[in-house]
Amino acid sequence: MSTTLVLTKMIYVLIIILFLVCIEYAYTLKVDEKSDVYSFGVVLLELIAGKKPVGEFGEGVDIVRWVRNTEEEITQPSDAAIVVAIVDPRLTGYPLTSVIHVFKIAMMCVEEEAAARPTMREVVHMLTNPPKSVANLIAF
Amino acid sequence: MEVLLNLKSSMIGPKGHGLHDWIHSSSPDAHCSFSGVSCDDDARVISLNVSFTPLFGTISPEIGMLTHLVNLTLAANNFTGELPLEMKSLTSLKVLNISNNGNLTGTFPGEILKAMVDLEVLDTYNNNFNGKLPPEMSELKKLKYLSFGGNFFSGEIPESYGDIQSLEYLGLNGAGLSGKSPAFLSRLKNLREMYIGYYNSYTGGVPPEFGGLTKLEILDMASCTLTGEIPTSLSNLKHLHTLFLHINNLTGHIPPELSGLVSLKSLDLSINQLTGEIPQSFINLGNITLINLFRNNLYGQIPEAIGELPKLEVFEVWENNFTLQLPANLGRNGNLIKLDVSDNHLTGLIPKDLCRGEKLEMLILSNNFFFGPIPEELGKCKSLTKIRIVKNLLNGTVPAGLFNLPLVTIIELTDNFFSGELPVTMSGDVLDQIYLSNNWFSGEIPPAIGNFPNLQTLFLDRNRFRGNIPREIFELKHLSRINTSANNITGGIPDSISRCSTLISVDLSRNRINGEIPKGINNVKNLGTLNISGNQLTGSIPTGIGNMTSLTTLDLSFNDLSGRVPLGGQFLVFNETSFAGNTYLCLPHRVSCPTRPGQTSDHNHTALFSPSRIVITVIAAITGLILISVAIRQMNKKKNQKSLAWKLTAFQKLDFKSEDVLECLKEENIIGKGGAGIVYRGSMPNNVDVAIKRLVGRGTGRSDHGFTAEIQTLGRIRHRHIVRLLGYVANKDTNLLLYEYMPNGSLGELLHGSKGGHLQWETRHRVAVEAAKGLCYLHHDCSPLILHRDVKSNNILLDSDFEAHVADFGLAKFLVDGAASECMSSIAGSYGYIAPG
Repeated sequence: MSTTLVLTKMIYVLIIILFLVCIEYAYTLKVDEKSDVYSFGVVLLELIAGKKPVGEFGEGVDIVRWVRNTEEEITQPSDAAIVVAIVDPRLTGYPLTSVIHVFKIAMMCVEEEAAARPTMREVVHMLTNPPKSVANLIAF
Repeated sequence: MEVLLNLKSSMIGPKGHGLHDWIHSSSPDAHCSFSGVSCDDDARVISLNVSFTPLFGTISPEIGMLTHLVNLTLAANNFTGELPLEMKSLTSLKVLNISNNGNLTGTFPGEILKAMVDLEVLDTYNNNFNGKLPPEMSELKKLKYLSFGGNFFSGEIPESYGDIQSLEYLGLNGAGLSGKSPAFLSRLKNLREMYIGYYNSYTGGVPPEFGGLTKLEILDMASCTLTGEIPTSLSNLKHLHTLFLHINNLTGHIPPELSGLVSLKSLDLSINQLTGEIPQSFINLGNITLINLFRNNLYGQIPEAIGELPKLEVFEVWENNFTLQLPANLGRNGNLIKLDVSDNHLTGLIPKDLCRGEKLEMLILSNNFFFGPIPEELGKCKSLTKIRIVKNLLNGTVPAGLFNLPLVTIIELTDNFFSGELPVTMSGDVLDQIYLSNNWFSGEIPPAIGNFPNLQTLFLDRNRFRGNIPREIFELKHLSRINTSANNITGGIPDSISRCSTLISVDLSRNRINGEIPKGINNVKNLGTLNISGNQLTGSIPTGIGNMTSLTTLDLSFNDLSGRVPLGGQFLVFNETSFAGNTYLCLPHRVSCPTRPGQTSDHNHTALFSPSRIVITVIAAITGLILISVAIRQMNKKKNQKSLAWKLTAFQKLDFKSEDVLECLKEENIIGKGGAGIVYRGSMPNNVDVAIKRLVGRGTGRSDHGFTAEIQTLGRIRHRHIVRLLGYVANKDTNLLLYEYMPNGSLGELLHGSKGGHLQWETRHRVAVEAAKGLCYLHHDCSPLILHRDVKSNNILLDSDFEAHVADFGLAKFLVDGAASECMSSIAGSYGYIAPG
């Protein structure tokens, strides 16, 4: 009887191992450096909105979805309007141009299509080269 | 033709898309049939309209050669660069529309306008222009439509704008303007629509002179730092249908004179500091459809007159101090669509005619003192999409119809005194959230909850529900949070929970649930919280829980579980309180285990037993046990010798030994726990602090080969914005990674903690740049390239100068020749950060 038990357990373990291998394989297929870029975009949105990526927007809504929803709700959407709608209220004064610039980069990073996302090298370049613009327009 | 083709090449930009039918042809007037082009009788281009294409290039100077252009519309493309000065020769232009290009930049060249004396429409909305507004406008005697909105201008509105007498539409909204509130615009006697708010910031208030703009239909001065009171002179604007003054610092009362605005349809005064009552005179606003007054300091009773308004559709007055009851006739007009009166001190019954016209979509009454039942009529209100009636004093049974509305997405009835049973039939294709917490609901949880195909959140806690949890609930395809705690639920946890892969949080605590924890629970990969404490669960804890790497909160306390708490894996994250109050449960590291009286084994096979079998089995078992224990002892001897030897591998000169590191592995030194392991802070003898990461779930065998290679590569990385791996300490069972210590913790903790407000934009921007540089180094300067695989704010650490360093390569994996190599980890990122697809 004990041999059948051992055998059953061995088969059980084998099934688990096979299962885990499958899961791992599924994950490895998806992951490339653009996945990191996406995650970094989420971090940028976190910095702008001061909100956690999940848990603050209701079920099934993460920060990316929330930003897109907010965008759709604005009657006259412009980058400035969206940024003002989502920006962290704890920021006491901020250069709107700079926030908009980072916001645009963030939205590129979280594009659905991995190919449409910039590389990290491009992200660094964009972040360190803000558009030449007005001497800091301060909101609020 | 040549001009157009040259224009094309610059307009479509280097990527070269769009305008496919603009091709070379020998026919002299072929260009007139290009899409977006029209010509006069002499084949000269008079209209160029390429909108929504989108084109990614620039507007080239050659545009100036199309001197007969009357209409130039280049809206909703993606043009970049500045406007060419050559446009000044387009003297026949009537329409110049370059709106919604987003990236047109530089100052707007006012001189190009000087000779465009016929110009009627100038629309530059939503671009990137900056500098001052062009003052050269007063010569444009025919200009009717002017929009500079949605740009990044600065400075004041030029006084000369008061002289464009022909102007009917003025859009300076969201243009970054400042200065005194522009009273001189009151000279524009023909003005019908004025938008000068949104992210402009003026000093002063609404100019009383605007009362003289008698043709005005729309006045929008929202969000532009206005102060003072609303001038009564505005009541002269007999054609005004829209008055938007929300998001300012307006004070004083709402002037009763505003009832003179006989054409008014939309009035938004929300988010100001207005006080006093809603004027009784508003009964005269017979055309009004929208009244928004939320976030002010208004008080008193909401006048019965509001209920009389025949066309009222939207009434939102949340966060004020209104008292007494709502007008009993509210909604009787048959037009009400949105009602939000939450966060006031209203009381009385909910008016029963709110949905008389079957148009009501939003019903939000939260945080008031309403009492009595929800009117039966609302159960038939098929138009409802949101029902939020949290924190009131409502009682009685909820109309059954409420759970059968076709369009409703959220039902929130938390914190009331509702009683009775939930209806047996329920349906709704778009319902995604149900909150019924903290009421007096009773009876069984109806299996019909399984009829909400899109349900994501189900909160039934703190009620008097009894009976089983229907298995149908866990067959919902999108369910992510369920809470049924503090009821009288009995029966077992349905096995279907194992297949409910969307679950993130499960709280079934404080009931009388019995049976075993489903063995397949570990299939719920994203589960972060599992609380089944305070029940009567029996059996052992499934070892599979050790593989649930997302699980950060586990509470199995106060049940009747037995057996041993499994070791290793995710179980390292939980402490003893997760398992407390289970008399027959044996905690790890406990030498003697309690046994259940009168029971020798978990499995009973009495039916199979016969005397001869018992003898044989006992002999076989004893022999087996002796053999096994001898073998284990032999193995342990070898293993102990090896595993006792800790080995420190350093990637740079370290002035401490492995013993110093091991000494720091105490409970009180823990500074973080996560899916990948536990992190301790270690003070080394030479006053250097290090962070020690104890990796989870790396047993013998499998770990060694790949792990050492991976760690060697990580140890070679030297970058200012990457947390340095100093070395590692390992024995046969455990790996401890040593990192430089970051005294200011992670960006995530800081940003989402109480001190997040101190993190101002400059710091945030700098942190973003530094983290990006760190990641860029991993992606582009390492060979082979290194993927982080778990980028998140909790993995961006801040040193004593708040300089950012990318951390946690526990999950990093190498890409060799662009293909996935042997994998080290089964985790790929954290919830909320994972790329789709």
